[in-house]
Amino acid sequence: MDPTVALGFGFGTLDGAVVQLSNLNVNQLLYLLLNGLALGVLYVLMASGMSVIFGITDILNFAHGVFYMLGAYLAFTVIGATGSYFIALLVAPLAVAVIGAGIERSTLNRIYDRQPLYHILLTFGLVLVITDLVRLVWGSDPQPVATPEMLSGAVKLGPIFYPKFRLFTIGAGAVIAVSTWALFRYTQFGLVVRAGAQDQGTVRLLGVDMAKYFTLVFALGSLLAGAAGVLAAPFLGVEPTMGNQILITAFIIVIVGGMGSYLGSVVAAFVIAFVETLGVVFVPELTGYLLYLIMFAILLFRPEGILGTYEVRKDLAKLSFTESIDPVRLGDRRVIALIGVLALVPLGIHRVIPEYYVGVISLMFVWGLFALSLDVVMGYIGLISFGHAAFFGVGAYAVALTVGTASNSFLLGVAVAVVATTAIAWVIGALSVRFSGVYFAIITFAAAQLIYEFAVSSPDITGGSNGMAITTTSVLGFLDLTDPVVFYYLALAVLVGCYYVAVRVMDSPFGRVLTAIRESERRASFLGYDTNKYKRRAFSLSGAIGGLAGVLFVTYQQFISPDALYWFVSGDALFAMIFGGIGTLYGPVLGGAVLKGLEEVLLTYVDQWRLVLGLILVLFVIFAPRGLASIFVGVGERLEETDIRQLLRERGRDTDAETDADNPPATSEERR
Amino acid sequence: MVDPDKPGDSTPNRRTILKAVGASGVATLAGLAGCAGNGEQTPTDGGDGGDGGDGGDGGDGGDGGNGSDGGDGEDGEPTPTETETSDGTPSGTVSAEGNVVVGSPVPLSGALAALGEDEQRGINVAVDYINEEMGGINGRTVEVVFEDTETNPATGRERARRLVEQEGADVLVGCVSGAVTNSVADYAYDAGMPFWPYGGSESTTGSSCAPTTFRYVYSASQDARAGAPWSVENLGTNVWIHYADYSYGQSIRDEWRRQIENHEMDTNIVNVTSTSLGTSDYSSYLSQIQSSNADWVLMGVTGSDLIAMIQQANQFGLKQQKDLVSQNLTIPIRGALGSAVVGVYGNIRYAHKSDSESNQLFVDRFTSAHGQMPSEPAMVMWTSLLLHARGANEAGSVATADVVPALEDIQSDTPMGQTTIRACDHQASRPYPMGRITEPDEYEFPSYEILDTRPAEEVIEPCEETGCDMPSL
Repeated sequence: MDPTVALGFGFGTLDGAVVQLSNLNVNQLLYLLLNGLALGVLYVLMASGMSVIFGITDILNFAHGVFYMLGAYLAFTVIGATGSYFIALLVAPLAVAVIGAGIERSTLNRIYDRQPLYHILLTFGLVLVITDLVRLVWGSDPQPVATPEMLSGAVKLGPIFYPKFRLFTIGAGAVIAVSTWALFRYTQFGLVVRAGAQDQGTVRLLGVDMAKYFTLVFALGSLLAGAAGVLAAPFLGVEPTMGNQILITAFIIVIVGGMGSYLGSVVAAFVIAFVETLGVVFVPELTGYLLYLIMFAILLFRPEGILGTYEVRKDLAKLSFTESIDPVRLGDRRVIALIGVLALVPLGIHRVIPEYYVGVISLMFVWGLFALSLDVVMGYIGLISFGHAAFFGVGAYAVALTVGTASNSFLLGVAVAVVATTAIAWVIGALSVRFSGVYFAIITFAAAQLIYEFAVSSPDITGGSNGMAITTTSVLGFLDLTDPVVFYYLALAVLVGCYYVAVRVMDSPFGRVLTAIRESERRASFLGYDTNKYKRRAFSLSGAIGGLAGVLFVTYQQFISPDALYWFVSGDALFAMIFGGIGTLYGPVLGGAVLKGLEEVLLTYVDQWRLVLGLILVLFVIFAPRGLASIFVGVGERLEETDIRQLLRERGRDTDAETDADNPPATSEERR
Repeated sequence: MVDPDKPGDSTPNRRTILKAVGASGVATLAGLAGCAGNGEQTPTDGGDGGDGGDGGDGGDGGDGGNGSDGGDGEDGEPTPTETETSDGTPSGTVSAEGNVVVGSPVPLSGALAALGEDEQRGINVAVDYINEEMGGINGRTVEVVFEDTETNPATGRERARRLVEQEGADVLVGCVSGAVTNSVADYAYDAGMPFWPYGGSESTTGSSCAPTTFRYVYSASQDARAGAPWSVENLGTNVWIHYADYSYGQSIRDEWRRQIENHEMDTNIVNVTSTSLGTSDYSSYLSQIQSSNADWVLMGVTGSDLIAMIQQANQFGLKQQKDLVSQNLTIPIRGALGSAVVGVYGNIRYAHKSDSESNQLFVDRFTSAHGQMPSEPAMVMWTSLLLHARGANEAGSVATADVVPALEDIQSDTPMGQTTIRACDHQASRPYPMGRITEPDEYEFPSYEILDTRPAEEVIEPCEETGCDMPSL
């Protein structure tokens, strides 16, 4: 687009805003008020449900958006069966509550004692499973939900006409919200929930079966989300991705209002709704960013939120492992053998394997690298980053922009990418390492989404949602990276190199301090370490490696689009990491590679492969939280134990655990 | 902290189970990878062109060549039907040597899945027709392989690469999203593979035009050149433009604004507003529009955004006060909206009621195969494939270097009228009707009435203004 047109457009919008302000009349005020209320009511239902669930169970429910969606779809079905919207309004939320309770009982119930990371991963897995199930049952098309006859059309309110259904939404939503508040305020159930949010331990001591209340609260939260979905359906439409946007808004509202506070989320919901409604009219250029800005502002000045009762404790939710699985050294025989085999793969090209598969395996390296970057910050400091897509995407865009504007040199592109991602990681880190656990997750999530929004709406810089294609890159002018074989070796080399760096760093004094921080930040700070500084540095390193993964990705694809920055990419990285094994460095590399390979294979046979992946994620979180690495270690341990028992039997004396160099170097230590 | 990993009790059981699962999983993966690897060998060999030469020989003398091709036909005919319900599975059978492979990257998941599925149906019907009535392409049976682009440009490009390198595609058709289309078009040019998209932006046959890209579907400038002058002349000179803030929406904004401002009548753009893609709540904008002095509103959004916007406009009673205009009133969207969309004006992208011979043929074949009406994506794919088949048959070969010149300036009577594929930018030049949505007549979805048809030369941009500098093959 012509820059002068863009500039003129920009001024025009600002002009428009000023004009709007001065021309504000009764009509517009009324519209703004009513629109804000209608939006706010939906937000109240969504955010309060999420906030209450978190307050008592400490679970950040990523699946809240799909409950919203389920409510809408179930309403669609009920209306189809009975013809009545009001029956749907009654039945659908209840059905969602039952589903929510069922899910809670079968999955979340088993992992309450684990760290929040696992909760987040589990609920993310549920998002994938449920979304694909919905597609399976109802199809991917948007479904129409007609407004009920008696509520359609507009009604005259003074000087304006306003949709009847929106007024109904305001009314119905308010009734539900007030009833919920009364539930908390006046019933036994509400009393226990409020007490539990304050201090779970004491409530347990008083003999209350918290597990039952967890289920009930989760059901209640799901009911509220489902109700929001039913109310939204006729007005906003029903389709499988309808929960994504409102989920993000709900996160922001919960932070602004204060985690765990029902009233806080109510207040914040209306604040955010009005900000959005007014913002659209007065500062439309900021539309995508406004909410994030508010969230960051709150985090800077009043992190507990407006009415927050939740303590944003610094050393909350650390990541401790009962088994410490050390990273496999590069000098280990098995690793050398593996690298050797991989190095030989491209030589079989055209004879044994098609060229296409060389490319696939190269991508597996890229994903392994990306998962590795995440493990550096999650497995070793215990910071839950849900925004690593930012580094992946920024690294890729950096190369695309460099190649597009400056030169074809791959090395220059790498340099720019590393600088950019390290800088961004440092900024995000500076803002957020003070917080831990779910706060850190939400902040990184929001930061990545902010960058995504920027990429989508800045076509002059990033090509917008059309993306950017790059012609060709070369190393030092003679190695053409569009050749899949050359790229394969490059990717392998970068992966091995970064793994080496990561292992060495984690083994250094710096790395030891990181592990200490992970185990107990308070202890580490008492020992005199500036823990925030270490966390920032580790996060920057993680960002740089993530950026390298993005660099490789765009070099292979020769194309980048904002989809690389969407939070699903962060989710995929988390998935790869948990699949492979947190905190082992080699586990996530394996996990990333397997994830990519699995996708490739599943794609040819299964339509709903995301459903399969989601199921695998859920199963792994529940049953094998240390991932594949723990399986390998387990195998090794079985060998060890057999040796020991044999020896004990034969010679009747204690034996060292490690007698054979071929045994995995990990030792199993029980930690209380 | 309670430790669920307590060893000694349940740990051995858990570990044993996981070991077993993991081992069998790895074994299965290895086996599957092996199978997939072996399966893909033959098409790659088939695509080497040597077989294409055999087909040519068969065509010359009609000796054993034809006979064996006829044999292929019998084997191959069920193949397109198999892929009708395909979900991206490579056409069940190993592609017999000599088949022409149509590679089709389409969105089968994601926001545009519905359009992708319609494309799929149209492509299948076209392939059947080509095999049954046209004797295939160069006498060879045509088969099609679908891949899911997931409405993601990087994925789409990957799948296209797979179709070309693994399945031995001879032509690529499909895509819906502009971003995916441009990504695949870029790859197709690199790989020297002809590509007929449904989507794309102005640049697809404009500043980023490529000799391998051919486009039958209307370009953004065609949409605007048909829609804007008509709307200004018939609905009023005060215009409100609302668009979705991503590439497609931005192109609608730019093209329509240009046409409106350059119109000889004294036009006034009251305001230009936008929402991000995927916005569901348009209340604020509709309220503003209602209080303004605009005559008509251009709704530069599509898909579920358009459905939401029109639904909410109805709730606000906006249709009674302002005219609503959209260039994206496709059959699925009309079906989803029902009576809410009646009375909206817009570009009639596919006049399914047309009684031209070409359209009747298409509609008959489509309805008998699928039991439902085709929509624009299906029609575009049908036409694209038929044009490509004709070009290849006229050139006597399906190789890119031969087909491309044959397709340039090719003229045809298509379901939407007399069409020429221009040599300067490979964009189809054809007439464009404007109309109004009306109550449903034959089918459950709202129908249309045509109010004016803009001639082809008026609607398409002159070659010099497209920004296309066609590179060599």
